[in-house]
Amino acid sequence: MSGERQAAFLEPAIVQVMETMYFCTPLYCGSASLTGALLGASLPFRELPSLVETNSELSGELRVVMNEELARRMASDFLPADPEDVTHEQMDGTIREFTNIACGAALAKWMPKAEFQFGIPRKMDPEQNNGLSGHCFLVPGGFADEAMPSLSIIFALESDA
Amino acid sequence: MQILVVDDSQMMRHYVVRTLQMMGLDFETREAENGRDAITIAKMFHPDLIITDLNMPEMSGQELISKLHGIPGLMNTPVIVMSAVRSQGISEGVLRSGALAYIEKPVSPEALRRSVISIFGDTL
Repeated sequence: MSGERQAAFLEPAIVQVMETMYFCTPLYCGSASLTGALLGASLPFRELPSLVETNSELSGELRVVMNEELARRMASDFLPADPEDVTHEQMDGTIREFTNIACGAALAKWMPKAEFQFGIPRKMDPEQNNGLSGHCFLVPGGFADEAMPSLSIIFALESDA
Repeated sequence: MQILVVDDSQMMRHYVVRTLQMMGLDFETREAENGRDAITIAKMFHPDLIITDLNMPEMSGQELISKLHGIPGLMNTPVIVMSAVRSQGISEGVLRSGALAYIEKPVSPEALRRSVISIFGDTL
């Protein structure tokens, strides 16, 4: 599937999740290779979809790479707590839940009639995303450098339908 | 009113509790990380409402509903299920198993409010 086709359903899915639960509107800024500072300062997670009673063949995974500052701010808003008091475990929990919800939202936009189930998100080694192309979003307040994407989605799902 | 919120995500549990608070309800909450812990807490807490995630380690939301049906004093406790899975088949299965509402994540405050009001109506 082309990056443009992925962006067509990923952008509204991620915007919907962020606006509904995190009360901010991310700006889609295209796809980019995830290397350097973007990857090094991030907390990556992946969601592994699995198939049940589906009307199409679906396989692969969705990965979320989120900047630590954004994860800290989101966790801080949710708890609520001072950003300095947010632990790595709480940031992990925030990204884990975001990954779960983003996966559901993206699949629903991509294949609204499919019946699917998916697994519980798990943390991964950042190096596993090195050089992969991700759909990047600028989130207000999500990075010290406002021009740096603070959220990237690697969509590696395929359907035979 | 007593509400038990069940989700393996601490963030999600806090989100639900804060959303309920914004509704101006007078309630007391307890939290559980999975269905198994939820049953233990529910036996002592006797909630008026359980709001649970569907996909959880240890015991899922659907298993939780099934177990509640066999526990005297809890079998009629209203359950609202939340899930990131947007599937008509799964939501219908959850409702058939006894949940009174199925809310898709991301959960908007309005969707949660509507579901709670649909269960308790004017008694709130």
